[in-house]
Amino acid sequence: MDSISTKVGYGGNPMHKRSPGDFKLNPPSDGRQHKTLCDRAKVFTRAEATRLLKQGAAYGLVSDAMKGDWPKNIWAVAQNGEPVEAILENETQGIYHGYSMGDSDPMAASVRQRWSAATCR
Amino acid sequence: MERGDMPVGFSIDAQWQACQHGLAEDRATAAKLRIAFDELVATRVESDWSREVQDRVHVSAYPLAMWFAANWWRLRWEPYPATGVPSPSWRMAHEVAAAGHGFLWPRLIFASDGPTVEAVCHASRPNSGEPVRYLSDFRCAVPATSFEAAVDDFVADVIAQLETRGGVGQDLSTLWEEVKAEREDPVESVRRRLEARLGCDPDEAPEEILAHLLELSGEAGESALDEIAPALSGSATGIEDAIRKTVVAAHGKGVRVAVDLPSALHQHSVPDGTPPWDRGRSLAGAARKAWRLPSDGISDEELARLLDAPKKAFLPDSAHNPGIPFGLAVREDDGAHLKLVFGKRNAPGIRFEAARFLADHLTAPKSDAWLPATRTKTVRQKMQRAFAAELLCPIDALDSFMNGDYSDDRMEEAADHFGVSVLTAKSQLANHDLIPPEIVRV
Repeated sequence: MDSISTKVGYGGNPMHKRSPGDFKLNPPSDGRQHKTLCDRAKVFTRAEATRLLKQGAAYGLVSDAMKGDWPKNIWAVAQNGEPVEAILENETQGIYHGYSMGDSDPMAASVRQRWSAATCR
Repeated sequence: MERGDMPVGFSIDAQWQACQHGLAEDRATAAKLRIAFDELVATRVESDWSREVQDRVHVSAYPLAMWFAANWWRLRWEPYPATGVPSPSWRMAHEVAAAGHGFLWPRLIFASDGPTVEAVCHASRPNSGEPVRYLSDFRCAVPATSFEAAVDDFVADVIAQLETRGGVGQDLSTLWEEVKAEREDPVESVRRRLEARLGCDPDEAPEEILAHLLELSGEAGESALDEIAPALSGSATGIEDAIRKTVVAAHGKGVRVAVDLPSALHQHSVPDGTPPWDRGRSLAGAARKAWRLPSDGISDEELARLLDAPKKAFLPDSAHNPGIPFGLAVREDDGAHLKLVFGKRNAPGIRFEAARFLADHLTAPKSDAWLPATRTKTVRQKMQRAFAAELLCPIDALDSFMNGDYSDDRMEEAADHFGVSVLTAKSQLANHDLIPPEIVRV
């Protein structure tokens, strides 16, 4: 998983942004679809989003499902304790965009548990 | 809101929308989605920004269609877990929110009882901070045929939309073709159904366990095995051990009883679509009449006489523990005798289980030699419980006994009088709207 964590990159998706942060997306935010917001996880910088993505991959919090050489999903827990999920958007370059998992996603509890176990190792 | 009594229709309708961002398959299937159960709308939302309320949510249909396709067997056949606490795997397979892709899905849960799929919808938590808040809170039962038709139509619509948008998301059509082929194959569909009832995703159940269970179906009966499988999946010592103990229990010691089955009971029928609890109560009324039982409950002596067994056979026997997480009756070849292996260890529980075995003996397919009384919420188990409650603790007699006093002390006196648990007495009263359902849960 270490090799994946060094290669993955963060792209971003304006549909998950209320606050545009420093993501430099075009448009900066687009709330037309009903999506969970990164704001909830208080991830407002590209550097923090990238750090979470790489950390999740390094901890092995990746999906069994693969697309090409990349796991379809990578999970992490933001500094405020909010579980976040990244989904592969570019299979050639390994670029992901991420979002808060929200209250009702049944996967969120497992992510918290596995993240906690990985950070205690 | 409760609509658990009568079956309702189910529909998933997507109005396609343009979308500029996100994954190709999500863009291609961006939609205003409406999920409804007759007049109950699971996708009724209030916008956090405009405070506008609408019946459609802006999501992409592809992740939801993938979730339905990937979990089709478990959604269609797996009941709510016998332990009462759903595992992460159960939740991923039964809660719509697991469709993911970062969309705000409704808190909608599906659980099969066999002929129907129960849908439970919860409103969003207040102050969730999300762009929309789901408003609906209801529970209803969808006939399995309606569930299958709605899912089939929805997935087909999404696949057609993906094709018109350049053929992205082909993994959905590939997976759906596999599911359809399995459903049409009589051998494969039996395996997949059993696997789902064990709580396993497709190809996840160990081959030797499936083979063992399929072999057992010849002895136990196919429908009986459908009931036993979900009860085995929560076993602390593993499924293989639970199967072994079940076989030992079926061939071991038990209480031998004789059951008179008058033709009036064989001919007892209820209209199609009658909920299982109504069916159980109706059958209990017919049984009381056919067996000439008193209308104010059944004493231990009357139960022993009815089953042609000594009274002491229904007393707890601490020396006998079959070690299986359910009760089991085994039909003898003569059709007149049963061997009862009680899973319950207390007198009211044993009486209740004996009555459940009677219900199952009256209604189970002739091909079933084993009659399981499990903790799961399949239609067969629901019917057994309703029958047993009404036979041992008839609602009219119970209501008369309570005489308007629903205090805990009076409940305990009623349970003692009718020889049932306090929970059974409370459930009978709640199921007839004589006390609020919250009192049962407390």
